[in-house]
Amino acid sequence: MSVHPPLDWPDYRSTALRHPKRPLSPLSVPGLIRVEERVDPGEADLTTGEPLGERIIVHGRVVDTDGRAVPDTLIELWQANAAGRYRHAADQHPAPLDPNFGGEGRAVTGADGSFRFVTIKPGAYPWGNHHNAWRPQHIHFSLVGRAFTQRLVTQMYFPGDPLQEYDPIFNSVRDAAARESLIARFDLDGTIADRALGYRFDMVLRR
Amino acid sequence: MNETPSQTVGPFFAIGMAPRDVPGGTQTLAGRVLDGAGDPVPDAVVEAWQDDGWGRAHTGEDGRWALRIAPAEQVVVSVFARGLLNRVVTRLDGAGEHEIVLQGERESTFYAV
Repeated sequence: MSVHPPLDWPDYRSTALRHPKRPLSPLSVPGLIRVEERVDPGEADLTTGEPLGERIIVHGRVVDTDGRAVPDTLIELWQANAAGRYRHAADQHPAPLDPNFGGEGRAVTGADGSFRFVTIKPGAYPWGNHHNAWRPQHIHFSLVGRAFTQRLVTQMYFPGDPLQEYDPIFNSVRDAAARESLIARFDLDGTIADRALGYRFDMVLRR
Repeated sequence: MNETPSQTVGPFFAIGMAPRDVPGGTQTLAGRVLDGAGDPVPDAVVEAWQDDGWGRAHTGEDGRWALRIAPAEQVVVSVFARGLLNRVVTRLDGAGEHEIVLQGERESTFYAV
């Protein structure tokens, strides 16, 4: 069974008019690509402007389903600020923007598939899906691996967040273990002493 | 090991997923993304994959998008959007204008990847 959420998921209202209803056809997909992604190492640090919020490290490895490292994976992430507001014109949540926080970062995985970002813990925020709907704290991740099949967009959640239970996007993943795999692990060894708390988030792409 | 599950890009992907052309692209691949009511989808990403690399474009208020690609008879594209919990994949016949219809009588042919 696929770990991925169904495209038709009524609890998340926006799926109603956007999910294809006809069965999917088979396709032979493009093979491996080799694109050298040039990313400034500074793009992995979202805190250089001294934003407000709880400073955190998010680090981990990108591997395939055989457990092998996927090097040279482009990782793009984006998130709300500590008050739960995105730097985006469509975000109307009446929480303050932080002039020192853009909320986007990029990195390329190393030879062992590893990556490391420095950022702040995003805030929860309400959204219009249903009465009093709140998104749990989360960070968006986009991964481009070496092949078309190694393309993933997902969200990372934080341990112990009581909002997860009520969130139709998190719960669109029907398999409990797969859902749990979207929650980062608190990682004391990944902290910077006296400066930033550590979270570990490993991601698995197809072979 | 199991794959990490997909989640929607949500409405604010433009912060992190910058548009880009396919490297060395010389032709324009463009079109509109429409939903099951025939309305434009203003918060989608269309990503084209070719042998030499990939590019992507964001849809505007009118659902329109455009990017530069390398010449090809067929181009495999992924669509990500608010309201799509996973990408959908379709195939477009080379450069020019194309409609991608997510649902309904004119629904595009989507492929399992």
